[in-house]
Amino acid sequence: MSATARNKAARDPDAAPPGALPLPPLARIGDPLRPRRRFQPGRVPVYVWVFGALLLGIVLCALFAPLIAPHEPFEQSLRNRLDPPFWLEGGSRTYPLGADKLGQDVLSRIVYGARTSLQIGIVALLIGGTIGTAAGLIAGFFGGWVNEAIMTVVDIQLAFPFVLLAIAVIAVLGASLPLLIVVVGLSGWVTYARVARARVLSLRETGFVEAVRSVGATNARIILRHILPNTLSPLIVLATLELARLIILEATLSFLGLGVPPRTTPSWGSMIGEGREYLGSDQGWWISVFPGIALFVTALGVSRIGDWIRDALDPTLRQA
Amino acid sequence: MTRFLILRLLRAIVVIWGVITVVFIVLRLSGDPIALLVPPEASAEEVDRLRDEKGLNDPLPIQYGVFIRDAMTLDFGDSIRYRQDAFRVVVDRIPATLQIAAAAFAVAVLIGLPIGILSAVRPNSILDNVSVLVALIGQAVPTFFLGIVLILVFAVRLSWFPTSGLDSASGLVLPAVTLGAFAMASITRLTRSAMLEVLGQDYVRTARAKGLNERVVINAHALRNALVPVVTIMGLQFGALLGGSVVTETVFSLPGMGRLIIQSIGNRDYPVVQAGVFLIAIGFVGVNLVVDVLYAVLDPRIRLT
Repeated sequence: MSATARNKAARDPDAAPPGALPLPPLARIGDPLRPRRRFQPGRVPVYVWVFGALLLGIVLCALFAPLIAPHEPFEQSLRNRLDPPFWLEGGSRTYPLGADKLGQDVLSRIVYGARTSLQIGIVALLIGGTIGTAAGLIAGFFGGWVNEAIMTVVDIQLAFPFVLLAIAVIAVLGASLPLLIVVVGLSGWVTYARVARARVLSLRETGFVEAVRSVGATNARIILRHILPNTLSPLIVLATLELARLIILEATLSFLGLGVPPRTTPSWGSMIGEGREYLGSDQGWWISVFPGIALFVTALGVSRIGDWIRDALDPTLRQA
Repeated sequence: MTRFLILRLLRAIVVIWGVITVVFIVLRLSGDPIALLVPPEASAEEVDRLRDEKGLNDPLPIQYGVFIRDAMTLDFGDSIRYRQDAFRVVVDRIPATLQIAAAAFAVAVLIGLPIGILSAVRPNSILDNVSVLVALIGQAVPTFFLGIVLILVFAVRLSWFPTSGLDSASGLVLPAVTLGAFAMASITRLTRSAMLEVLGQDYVRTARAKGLNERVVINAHALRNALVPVVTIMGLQFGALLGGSVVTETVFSLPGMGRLIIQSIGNRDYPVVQAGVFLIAIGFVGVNLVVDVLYAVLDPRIRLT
């Protein structure tokens, strides 16, 4: 692919460039200073092991929260309110990362918060991925006004800061877990739609669609049995990268007070929000800081592993 | 070029129409704003009179028609809370948001671009490794958490900057860094990879073989070509900054549009929400339009169609 063609693709990934898009993925030329990694299980970089282990720990926390957390997430002990982490003066091992203003254990709430984050992130990912892929396949396959309509909706969503819309919808309809999941899920469908559509457009050029049609396959069969499997790999890579964004979005909404009701539900975002008022004093900074670190490590880990999967599986998707 | 501009403008108008329609639908799904306007002891007739006055008794399609007509003349009605023209209320908050977004954008470009270039020129140097690490962190840290950490360290502990407010220029520093961090990280990474790629091209080798000064090769031959995708990302990022300022304004308690819209949603102050969202959508679409045109200026090979 020439530089010009690539630049065009960078500007509008949907546009089918003259000729066919690289498919199956061509090893990209260029970047001579950084040899391309090949997928070899024995040569997985160290950071992948490190982040993989961290993420595994977080997943285990989410799955086995009641076994891991030293306290119940709602267990209050006003005598211990604002107890500092164990290594500070006045701290104790009963509340290893300190206690919040109601005397709830910060560590236990972080462990249970992993549940909230992952549960919402993963379900939302499935919703956004399914809707986006379906929309992209339909737009790319049928073209014409269907394509125009779907792509206009995509443009509209892209033209608008989604956080604002999410806030408006949740504030207006009232916070609830299903609504939160749907809203977070809908925040990302457009990306899948664009990738799936671009892939379909280039697949249609290859002629096998024509061939399958000529032996009598229906549209549904062509899309589901022939086009979809060929589209999945970039979409799966995209999904791993999206997960980090979704987890941060959920935390942001919780931080703004629009998270899972009731507001006492342990969630990293809402814990960070609750601890804000204590930042100015010596007592209580741990209420915000530790859940913040958990959130940051999770987001960083997911996106690093997503990057690695992308580089290993499909270098053509490489971007900034 | 003219044809391109006209088509692009038409599309922009469709997009803005779509955005305000969605907002109209979402807001009308909610409760009754009149309840907030009248004292609880008001009689049913009074409430009904007020509803008539505000057009809330009309059928929805008529409300929608009136709404679109008024939007075209920037008439969004009076703010229910501030008792003055809603558009005016929002416009008053523009300077704060623009200041924050512009400062954040400056931080992102003035730091991200040079660092991206330097990392690409000396790959695997210490600077390169540090900048890649910082960029990775910048892309993963949630805006609101970064803001809180910066307040904790630089405002509370070190007292270098105020914790909130825009009374002095120093009040702008922390919000700008908070909001700009993600864009800076993206610009750094993209500049680096675009430069690395361009520096491996034949024409760069040719330029070097001609004996050109390395500075000329970098600036005139490599950078200009590497900038094309970077400018696209900058445009998108500036749009994202306008939206992202919602969170930053909330964390730093700044009097911008984003915080106004959030507060107005809480107050069910529809006119202000509609006016605010309308303005943000226009800003977003306008920036993208400018980027598309800039694109063609930077790279004459791209034909505008």
